[in-house]
Amino acid sequence: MRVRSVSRRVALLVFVMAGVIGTSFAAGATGLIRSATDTPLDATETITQSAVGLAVVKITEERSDRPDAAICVEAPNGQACTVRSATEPMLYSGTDGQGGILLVVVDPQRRLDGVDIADAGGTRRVLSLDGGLSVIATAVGAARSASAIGQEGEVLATFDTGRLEMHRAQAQDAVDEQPDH
Amino acid sequence: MRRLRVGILSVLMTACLLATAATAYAYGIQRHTVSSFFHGCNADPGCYGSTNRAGDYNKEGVTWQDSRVLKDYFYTGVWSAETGGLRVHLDCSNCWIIGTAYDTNPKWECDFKTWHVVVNNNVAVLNGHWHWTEAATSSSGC
Repeated sequence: MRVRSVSRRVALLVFVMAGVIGTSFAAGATGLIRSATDTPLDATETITQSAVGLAVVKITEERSDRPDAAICVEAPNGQACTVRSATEPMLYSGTDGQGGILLVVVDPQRRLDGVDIADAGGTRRVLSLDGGLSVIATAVGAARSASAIGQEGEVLATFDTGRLEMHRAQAQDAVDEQPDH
Repeated sequence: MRRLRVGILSVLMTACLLATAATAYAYGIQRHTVSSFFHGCNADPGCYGSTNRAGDYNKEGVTWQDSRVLKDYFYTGVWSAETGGLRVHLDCSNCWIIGTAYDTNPKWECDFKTWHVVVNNNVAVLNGHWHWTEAATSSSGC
């Protein structure tokens, strides 16, 4: 009699545990329990689109009236965003899939004339083709520097393009470490 | 005495259930907050539970903060956990969110890990560290 009672309790316990695990996992996997932070970007629309080699790069803007509405670079393997009210340009850089580095500068205030890029091929200016909003370029090897130049010839921002390689090297040194979480 | 035993057992069982639920939920969303920065998989497409197809960018490593205050610098890269080889990496300056996407062909699906860095005013506000980005179908091999 006692054995049957214990078996029943064990069965009930297993049933409850299975239910908790299943429900929790499904909630996480399907997004039933989510905060606003789970959707960092609202719907966006494409402002400009350019082909750089085989890569298609888009500049998109969030459909919102808020001053911190996102203006983003969307490249084949990545995305980065600034905000509409930003007073300084944003630089996005990453691998272009063909051995080069893709550089995209976005100025929400639309002041860009071009970007001066210094790389293994020398120094050159790549002009904005969308009314000062963005400049899309590729660097030969690792770019040494990139400066956003305004329509009056002023330097809007100078970017340290060597940080991409520096942080890649740091990560590569630690690649055998176990993830923290 | 029996009541005390039952009480202790109940507390232990409740703790066990809560821990199990939290673990299962965390595994479901595969997203964490460190130093107020969210990072991990994006919601859609990709991440655990999705259908992995060629071209669907199954692995994503995203880092952002709700405030949308621009930071000096973000870096995110995706490495193969099996070979340690770099798959894709990128950075941004004067930005508030960065995301890498890497298409894991279902024929060679395997586990990946992402490296996240955020710098502001020359101080690393999110230090470089590894974060698992688990395979949608981890049993299919690499």
